[in-house]
Amino acid sequence: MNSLESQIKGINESFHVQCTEAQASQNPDAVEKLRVDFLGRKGHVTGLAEALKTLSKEEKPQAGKLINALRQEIEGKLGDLQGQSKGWEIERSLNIPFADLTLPTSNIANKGSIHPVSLMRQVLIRVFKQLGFTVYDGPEVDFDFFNFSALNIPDHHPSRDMQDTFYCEGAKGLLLRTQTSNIQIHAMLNEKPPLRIIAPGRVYRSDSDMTHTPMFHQIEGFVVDEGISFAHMKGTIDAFLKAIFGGSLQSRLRPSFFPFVEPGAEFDVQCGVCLGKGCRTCKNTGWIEIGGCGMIHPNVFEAVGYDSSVYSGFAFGFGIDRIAMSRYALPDLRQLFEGDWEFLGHFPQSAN
Amino acid sequence: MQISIAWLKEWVNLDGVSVESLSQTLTDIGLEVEAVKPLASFGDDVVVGRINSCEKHPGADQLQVCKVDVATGAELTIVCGAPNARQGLTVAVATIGATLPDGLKIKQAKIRGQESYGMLCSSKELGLSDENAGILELDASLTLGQPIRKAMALDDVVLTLNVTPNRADCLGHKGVARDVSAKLGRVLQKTIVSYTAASSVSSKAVGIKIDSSKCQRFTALKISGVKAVASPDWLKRRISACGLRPVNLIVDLTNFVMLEMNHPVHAYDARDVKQESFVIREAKSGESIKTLDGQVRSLSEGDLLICDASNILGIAGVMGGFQSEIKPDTSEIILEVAGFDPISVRKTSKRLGIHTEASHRFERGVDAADAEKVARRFAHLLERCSKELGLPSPSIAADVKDSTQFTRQPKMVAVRLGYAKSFLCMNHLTVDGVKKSLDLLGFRFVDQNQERLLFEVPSWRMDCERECDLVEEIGRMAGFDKVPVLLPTMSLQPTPEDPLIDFIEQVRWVVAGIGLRETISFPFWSGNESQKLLLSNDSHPLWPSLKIINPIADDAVWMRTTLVPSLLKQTLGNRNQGTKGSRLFEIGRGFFRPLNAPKTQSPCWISYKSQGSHLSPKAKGDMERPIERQLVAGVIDQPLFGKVWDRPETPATAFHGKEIVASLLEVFGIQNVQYMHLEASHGLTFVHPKQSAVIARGDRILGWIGQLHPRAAMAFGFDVAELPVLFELDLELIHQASTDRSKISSVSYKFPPSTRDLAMLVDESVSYQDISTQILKQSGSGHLKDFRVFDVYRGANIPAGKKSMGLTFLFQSAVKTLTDQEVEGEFKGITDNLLNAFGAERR
Repeated sequence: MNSLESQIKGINESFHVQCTEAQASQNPDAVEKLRVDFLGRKGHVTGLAEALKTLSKEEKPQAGKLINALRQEIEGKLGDLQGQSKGWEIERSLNIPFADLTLPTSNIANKGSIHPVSLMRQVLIRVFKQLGFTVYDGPEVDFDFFNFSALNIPDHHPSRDMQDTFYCEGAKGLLLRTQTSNIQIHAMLNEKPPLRIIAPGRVYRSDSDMTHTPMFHQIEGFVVDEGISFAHMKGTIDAFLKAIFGGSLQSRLRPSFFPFVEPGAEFDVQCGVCLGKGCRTCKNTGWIEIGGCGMIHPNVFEAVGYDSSVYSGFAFGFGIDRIAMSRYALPDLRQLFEGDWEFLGHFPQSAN
Repeated sequence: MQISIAWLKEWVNLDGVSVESLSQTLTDIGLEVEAVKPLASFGDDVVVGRINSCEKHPGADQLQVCKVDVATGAELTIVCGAPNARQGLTVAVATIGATLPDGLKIKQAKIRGQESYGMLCSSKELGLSDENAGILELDASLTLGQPIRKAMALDDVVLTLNVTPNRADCLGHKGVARDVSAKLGRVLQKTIVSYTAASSVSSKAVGIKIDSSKCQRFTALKISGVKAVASPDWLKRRISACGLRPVNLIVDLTNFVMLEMNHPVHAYDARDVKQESFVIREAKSGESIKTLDGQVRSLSEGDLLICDASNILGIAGVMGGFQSEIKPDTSEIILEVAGFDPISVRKTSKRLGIHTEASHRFERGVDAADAEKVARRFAHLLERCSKELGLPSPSIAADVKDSTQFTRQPKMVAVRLGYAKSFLCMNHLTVDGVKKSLDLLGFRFVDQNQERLLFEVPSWRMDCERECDLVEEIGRMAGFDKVPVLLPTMSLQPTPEDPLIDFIEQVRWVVAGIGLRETISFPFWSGNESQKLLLSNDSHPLWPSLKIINPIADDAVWMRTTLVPSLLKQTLGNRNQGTKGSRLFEIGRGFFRPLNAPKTQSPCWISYKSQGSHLSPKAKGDMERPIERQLVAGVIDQPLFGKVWDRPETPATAFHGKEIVASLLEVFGIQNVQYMHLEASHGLTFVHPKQSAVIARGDRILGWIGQLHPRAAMAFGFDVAELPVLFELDLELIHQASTDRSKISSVSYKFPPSTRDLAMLVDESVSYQDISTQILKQSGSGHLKDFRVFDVYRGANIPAGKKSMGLTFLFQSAVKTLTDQEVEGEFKGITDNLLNAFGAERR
């Protein structure tokens, strides 16, 4: 019994010494060690239970009380210490050197990008989708009928000189489309009015210099219904130009000629560089040419079996690459098609 | 087309119309002004002067000191180096302060010790011609001190018009003036054709025989007593303002008439037209002619020719012959004014590669009805010029010989005012207004039935065929700016959209999101790509079969069948610029010839036998149409990562290609995809046979992934130690796969999972796919929720030909916490099954 008492005393003293040390160290690990050493499964206090077994029946209650008192004392102290220890733990996790976040990261996913022409196309198509247009696709290799003759461009007509055409071996009249207008014919042959269609795609012309590439991108759009007028064409083109170039730049239509429309026009937007005053970009005209448009020629309707006395419509087309060039201020069109890794990574990826 | 404003003013009164407003007007009516250039780019401080005296410069042999009178009182002292500077010469003097066209500013200067107060100018220095041998020698009758611009009538501005192919009538000043006059509401001047006819000459004797329907009309006017002298200055100026070179009076007048009346004419030396008779016939094969430019042209059957009794004189509407051109001693001419079939002229000029002022006009359409008038206009001008030059009056026949009794069926077109109003949305249009503006354009009002107006189309407007053409004229004259801005009001019912279109856009974003940069390349091949790709022969499904007849370059002859070569080319380009580890992808089409459908029986290329959904059902029926397939392909160059601060250099492997493809398929919920070894029947000759897989789903092959074959790598110019990784997928097949996705599980697992690990030794030949298939086959009804490979190990303690695979299994129930017993039971079942199936040994 006496030896147990002195044992308890020794444990108590030892705990208080270590407790003070832990307090001084402010180390959460020391607090945990204290708990394990004294209250753990093989701890000093737990070990007293073994010693209790050796005592007589009479001695046990007294000894039990003493052990309980010790346990309570240690538990209480330890509890306080553990409370403080949580704070020390937070302190410890904050008390570290600065991480140098100026170091570069090297995740590959953030290096990907969409081509500027694709970005531009998405912006343009979104505008037309808001106006209720459907996107339509068609072949890049097509027959003369769809690319020319159904579009009122007869063979041997000088208007064919407006587009230098690549012809293909094989079936007669097989060619690489020179314009997305071929989709007008495909769509009208397959769908019934009313139609509101927008058709983007690659087109090909035998031409190559700073501002021409043998392949480039166009968007064709057309609307067919009863009672469609020239004013509707103006309205649609105006809405589109405002959405792309902002409302502050003026636009204009001037008469021009495309065989598949009558009347035909070209649409220009005020030069964004000089605001119409005239500069190098706009060749001193104050205007930037965007595309062509017009009221669909009755010969076109008749080629696809639409009744031109019932239906009227308008069509328009323009190059995506040119708009992308002006949007991103690119000097050379060919750069778009060279696959330069650095160049392709420069374009903001939000399609706004 | 270059238009002189001064010339235009001879046809329409432009008082009060500035150059800017004229340009605007022209653009507004569809004759777009592309450039505006003053004829004389110098000011009124360049004046007429006379050299009163010339003395040798005391300090320089080549220079003279001239005293020049410019009517300012005192003589100017000017040092001049021109050899032709001499006393009494009338000259162009740039006085102090003048700026010459090349930007030179004239200042008072000391030249070799001698003060000089101006400069005597050459024609080139004034920007008038290339003549620079000496100073300009002017007519002595000019008033001294008068600005040169005025004295030489240089006060003109040249407009460059973009005349669209439909407006053939505007390839001459008169036609442009007509459009301007109609827009401004002013009257077009009448064409003056009067001259004094000579009784001694007649055109009657000229023979004309037309042996081809391609010649619509042929007229001839005979003139004798002409002299091929230099033209008067005003005539030279008009012609050179429009970009043509003055030659002699006769040739210049033919050009002048063409530039004015838009009717090319030709003058023959009468001596060269045998028996003075013309035969207009089509060429026989084997014939040839030496044209005006001295070149011998071989003709083809059907080319329209102008001949005499025995020789070919010229190619109709394209170019005259060398032999019958106007010579210095030409005294008698026959003037040809004709009309030719536009298509015939176009075919001949295209084939011979001769594009002339004449062919340009004839292929767009020349008004044959005005032939006689044009001939008489030439005669009028010739008489006028002869008088101005002090030449004896030429003898001009009174009559113009015509091939036939030329008649033209008048073309009638009606326009309904109500229709025009609603079509153009111009409610202010009136019957009288429409009649007036069409009348100014030359449309003759014929009849009226209420609002239906009937007009006769003028002979020069070959572009006007039907009502919409008149509506355009009305709109053009009224001004497109008068049309209001409205949006169409239509049924909300949209045309159905092919879902593939939007799917492809999504693929673009997904692949970019994985870390590839989108590129776009030309789909052209030179043909040697087939060898580089190691394709065996033309029966290979990827052998290009669509050939361009008129390629832009030798390396752009064939349409591609795979996007791989252009990706590799661009990757090499990046490497050559010092960029390693580029990762490009492209979405584009492969082109396949249906008649050349793959002979190989492999299901891999089944898609290349059928048209993609871009083609409408009606066009699909056309069996000769090449097949177009939408493809996405990508390339990962070595290394995937260069060495960076937090990781070592990481080479790209076929697994990185798989990562991209698998992520893509996962995003679109495409399941049950198998990755299979390449076999010879797949025909992927350019893909590494071991570091690769074909991506299959059911009986369809969606595409492939793999390293570039080392042999192909060498052919494309890559280092064999650094093989790039590639993939290519058929977008339409992926899209179809994405539409039949399995049911989405809505169960959430809220009870704790248990995991068990298994490591086993299996043969090298056992693939992960074999193991996973086996696990899935057996664990159907149990609680196995997931499993993954945590280790694949070869080496120490593992026998050769074996590998150790470590798998973690996760068991979980949605309804309860699983007991150890349950988990152990299921795990044992899986383990036994695997060990059994593969003869594996537990480690």
